[in-house]
Amino acid sequence: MHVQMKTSYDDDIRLVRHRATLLWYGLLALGLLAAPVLLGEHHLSQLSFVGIYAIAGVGAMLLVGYTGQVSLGQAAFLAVGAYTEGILLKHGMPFALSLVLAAVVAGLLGVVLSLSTARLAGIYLAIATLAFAFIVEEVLTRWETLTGGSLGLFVGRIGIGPLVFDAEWKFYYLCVGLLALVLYLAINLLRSRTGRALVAMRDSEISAQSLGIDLARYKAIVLALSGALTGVAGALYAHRIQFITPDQFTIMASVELLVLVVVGGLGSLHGAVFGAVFIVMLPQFIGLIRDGFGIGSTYQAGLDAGIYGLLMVLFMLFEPHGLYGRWQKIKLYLDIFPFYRKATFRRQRVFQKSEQLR
Amino acid sequence: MTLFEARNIDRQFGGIHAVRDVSFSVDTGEIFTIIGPNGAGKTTLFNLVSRIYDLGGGSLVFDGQDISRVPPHRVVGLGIARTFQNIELFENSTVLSNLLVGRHSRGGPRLWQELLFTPAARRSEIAHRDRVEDVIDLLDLQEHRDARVGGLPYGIRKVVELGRALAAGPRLILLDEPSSGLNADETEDMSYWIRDIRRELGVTVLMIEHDMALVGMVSDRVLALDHGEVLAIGRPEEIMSDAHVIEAYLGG
Repeated sequence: MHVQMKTSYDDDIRLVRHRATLLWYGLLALGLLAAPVLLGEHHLSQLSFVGIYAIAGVGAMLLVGYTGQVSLGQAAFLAVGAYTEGILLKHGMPFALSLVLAAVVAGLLGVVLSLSTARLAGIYLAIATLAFAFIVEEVLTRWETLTGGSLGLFVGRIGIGPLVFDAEWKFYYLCVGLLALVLYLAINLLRSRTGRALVAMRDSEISAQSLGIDLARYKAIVLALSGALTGVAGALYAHRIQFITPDQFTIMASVELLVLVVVGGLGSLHGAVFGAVFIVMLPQFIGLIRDGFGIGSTYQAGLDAGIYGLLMVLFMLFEPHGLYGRWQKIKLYLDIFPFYRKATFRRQRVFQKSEQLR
Repeated sequence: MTLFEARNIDRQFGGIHAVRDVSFSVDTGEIFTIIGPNGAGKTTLFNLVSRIYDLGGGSLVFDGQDISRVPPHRVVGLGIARTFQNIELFENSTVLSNLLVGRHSRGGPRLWQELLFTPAARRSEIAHRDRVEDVIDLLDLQEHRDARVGGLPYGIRKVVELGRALAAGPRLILLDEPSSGLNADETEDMSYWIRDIRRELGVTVLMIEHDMALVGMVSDRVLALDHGEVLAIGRPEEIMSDAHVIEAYLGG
């Protein structure tokens, strides 16, 4: 067990609270820096994908995991980020600027969405975001002069001045670097007033409001941030696969991000990263199942959707805190061995819930 | 001096007249209690005062200012904080962060400063923490500071909710049944705290309460409500011996 002596209020808000944590994250950083030397091209590109998914995952986590606003429309932000990036780059805008603009456009779209869904919650909000994603997908398909319609859009290489991201390892560093930045910003947000306001809205809108939290304003803020982060991920994704069509941003992409946050662990940034690793590894896993059972590739689409659904249900039932929750339990088990009890993490039922205003 | 005044406030839900032409005023430094049988409209009255419900008629005046149309999230910034009958805490957060949310209305850094956690953001965090620690000291919550609220006993959670409202630094605090669900000892503690927050923090208290012992111990004045109407207003002993009030409670 770690017992910590706190001597100032700073101790509760600093980024690294234990020396040991610093050591582990240092090792992780070293490992990530050394990855291009250690790993082959294929695995490196998989790691880049993890970075991209994790950025989108942080966006989804802020919205779904921390604020409790279930969104089935994350694909729309992903698409808008990707298309903004592709179109701006085509018109000769430098990458640094186009990436920022991809975030801004997707973020603004988030604000627009929040204005139209300000009074919705729960399943109604989920349906509204789903409709929103369909609208965006449809616009991207129909607006052929701008997006190339269903024929798709070619997205060129990234270059910042003389620095051109032409090799796999350069792109990998870009993705991991951006992920680190995104995580840093998210941690900061979550340890300050706005982060607490978001969590407050998730747990009790009525008392959040009575404590001065302007629900509409904070919904707009979180949708803007979530949209912007997902937009950045979309832009990177566009570069990664270099050719984008509207049908890459269907409801399946939204569901994928929802699975990511649920399986990773709702309400934790670790969860976003764990979930991203999981989502990137999943196709390989599904491939194994397919080969193992001799299922033809004709059924691939159905198999994917089925497995996503099954995973969601299983995690909801057996590990609502996701992979990160499981990881914490394993850590605690080792920490306090042999004193772990089965009931240590058993959820306590809360019978007292307000009936006043529902 | 009058701190808060409700003038002829009124509210209907469909055919039910939940609050009917209710007027009362609360003086600065007073502990003012609203009593009444179930369904009398007490909680509706509170929700009207904290602007969760819109008024059907009448007006609310706080510190000389008409607050009848203030949006609900602005109420606490004016100096009115509240608790809820069945506890509305942020269950998955610690006691500390619950209390810190209580400081929300007292401002903070800009969003970009939070994202970068600039020195200004850090100073603001620490300043709010300082105020929250005062509340923790007042209510003896030290040992629960880092505990997750969802796992705490009911009595402690009740105190945490009181603390969260106090953290906002209100001038008027609305307590919706502070003793409900508490045992006799906890109720007694609660009565001390209610008097403490008036004496030490100078906060005026407007509360709804069922426990007549507690009402008698702490209240300066009592308002009896029945079927959304004021039956009587007066000192606790007057109210408890009022024929109409006894009739409403015992059924007539």
